[in-house]
Amino acid sequence: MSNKPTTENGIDRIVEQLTSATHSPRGDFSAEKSFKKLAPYLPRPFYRTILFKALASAAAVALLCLLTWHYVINNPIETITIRTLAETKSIKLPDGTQIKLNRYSSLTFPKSFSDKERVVSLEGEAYFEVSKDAKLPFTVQTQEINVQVLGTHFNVDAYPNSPTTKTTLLEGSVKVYNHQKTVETILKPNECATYSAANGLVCQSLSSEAKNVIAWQENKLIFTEMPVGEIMNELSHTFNTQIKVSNLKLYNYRLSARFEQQETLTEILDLLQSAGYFNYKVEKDFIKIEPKQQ
Amino acid sequence: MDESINKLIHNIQNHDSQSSFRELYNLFYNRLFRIAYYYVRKDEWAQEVVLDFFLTVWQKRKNLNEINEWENYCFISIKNASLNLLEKKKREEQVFTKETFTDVCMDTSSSVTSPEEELLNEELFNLYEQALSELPTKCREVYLAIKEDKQTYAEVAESYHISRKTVDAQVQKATLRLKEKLKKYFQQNK
Repeated sequence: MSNKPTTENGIDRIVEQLTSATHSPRGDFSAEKSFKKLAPYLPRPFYRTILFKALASAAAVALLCLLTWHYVINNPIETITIRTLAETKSIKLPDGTQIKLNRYSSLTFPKSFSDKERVVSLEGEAYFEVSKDAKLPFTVQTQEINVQVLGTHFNVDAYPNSPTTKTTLLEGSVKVYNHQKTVETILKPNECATYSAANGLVCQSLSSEAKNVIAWQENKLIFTEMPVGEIMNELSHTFNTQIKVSNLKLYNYRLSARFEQQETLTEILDLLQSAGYFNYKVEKDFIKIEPKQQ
Repeated sequence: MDESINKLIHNIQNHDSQSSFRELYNLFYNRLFRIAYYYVRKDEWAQEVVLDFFLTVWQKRKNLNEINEWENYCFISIKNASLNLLEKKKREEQVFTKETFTDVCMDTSSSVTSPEEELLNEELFNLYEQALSELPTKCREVYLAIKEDKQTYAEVAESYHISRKTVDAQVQKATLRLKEKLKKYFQQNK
């Protein structure tokens, strides 16, 4: 580099040389990316954040203590929840009650019953054989209704996505009532109570084939003179698949059928579609049932 | 500029403020990197030097007020650290490969300049860096994108959302300022 450039060109050249003497950080060497290498050496997190975190965790601990205390004082009952997927399960409660839990259902009950009552809650469908104990009423709570009994055999169908809750009695007697206790009915053997959440009414009817209602226990599906809509409702619970019936006439069309070989949903629908004059279509996340095109 | 830097340093020293530290880092990182690169000629090493420097600043933050002229302190620290790193790397190379050792010696001997010339170069370089830092931010960025990264006017215009004419104007302005600064220097030394 010449010592004293006087010409414009000389200075231009020097500027150029200086510019090419170094370069700015780019890519992985940029200020932003490089700081990540520095960050681990800095106290992390920030001082203020530490204080905040300390306060927050202290508050969380205090809250937890309070909740535990509250829980222990008011809710000394430990509960157990049993869930099923594509299988049924037999459950024996501490009082000797036998329960068969249908597919895709869950049952919650206390580890030990209190000395005043026996309460379990159900989502889905289950068959109960309640041990007799006149002093300790047995109550099944569902989303919409409660079923209270002393000692009987009965089935409760209370799948959460179903418009109705159906209680079928096989032996003894049960009282079915909704949470507000505005409707209440007492069932005799072979009777069923269908509660519709939409209008809050209970429909009591004779179930000629009450045994069929609990055929699911042997992995059988038995439909006797049953509307297509209800059949599809039951199938949708058994196979955990949404089934939509598009047509009201079709919904009320009655069918009888028995499936005892653990058939798949496709096999069942293939058989039913010819008897029920409908077509089924498998959509993305549900199955559509439509009247057969003429 | 000095006022705001003093404020940042004050916050780092007295309040352990990491956000102020980050701000200081952002203000100086690019400039210090360019200076370090001038000496070490390798991205990884330049980065190492600059990050080491900032780490020391953070670790010794309680004594920051003892620094009188922050900018001078930065530049001198970076220069010394760069030269130290070069020395260290050269020694490492000597230990590990004797063959390259001779190569390095050859290299340095061939590019060696007289001490005066080296000083002049360094002085000019400092002047250049100072002139760069005195440019408005956008003007400097555009100039560096064109001259260092060899981007086209069209590319720069697009990434900064300005017209090509503006790009040209910014480059002209930057070049002019840089030249003025150098001219003054040469006039003084005449």
